[in-house]
Amino acid sequence: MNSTAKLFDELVAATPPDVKQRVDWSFSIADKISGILKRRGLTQQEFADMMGCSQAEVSRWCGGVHNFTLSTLAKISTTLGEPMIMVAE
Amino acid sequence: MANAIIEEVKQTENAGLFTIRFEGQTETEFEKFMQRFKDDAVRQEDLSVILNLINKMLTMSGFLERFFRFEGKMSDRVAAMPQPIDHTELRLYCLRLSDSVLIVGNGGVKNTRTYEESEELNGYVITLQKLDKLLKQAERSGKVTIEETKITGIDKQTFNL
Repeated sequence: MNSTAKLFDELVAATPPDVKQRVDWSFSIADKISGILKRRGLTQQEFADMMGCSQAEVSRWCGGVHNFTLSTLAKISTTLGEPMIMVAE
Repeated sequence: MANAIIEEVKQTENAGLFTIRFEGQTETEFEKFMQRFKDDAVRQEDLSVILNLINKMLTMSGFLERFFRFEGKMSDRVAAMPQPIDHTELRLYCLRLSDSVLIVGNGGVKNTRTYEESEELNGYVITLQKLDKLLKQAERSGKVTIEETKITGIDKQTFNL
């Protein structure tokens, strides 16, 4: 393995679990939003208009590392009519 | 101006990750970026987020457009990651050649309104713009070909950046 890949793997492995979890969730939510928009043939601008926000904001949500607030997730869920998160019981 | 080669970092079924090594240097540009921030108390977490995002792209999605902010000019393929997020000013600059091929360069802390206002960040972007131009020439002449997750012929090329 080359030295760049070795360092990359070491640093990914050393990521604090909470940071890793945050990226996992953010990436999954971004995937979910992007998938719904694609399935419904909606552009980011059209979804932004539905949400009453800017296209740049939707672009950040789909960027895979956005730190979503519960209020944003609630608004996305209700606007799209699909749950964004499931809470474990 | 210095000569540089493109080195493969990692390959998965979904994607191929590459970086730049300048002639005579022991570290690649991506290594320099990681080494510089891995022990930085303020930026360490931001670095982890970027590296984990790259890892996710490598193993799951590929290098989809939506993960990048396009910098440089409309005519080039220079991009930055991550998309702007609250309180994160660390940026890694790269050339997104396709959904499956990414060349990462160097990066740093963006504490100016635009990257052009930072001599350091502007330098990284200019390097990638030059590489993009030379790569396009090499692609047109058939010396290199982007095929799925690989850049065929890249191991025989040197670029004057």
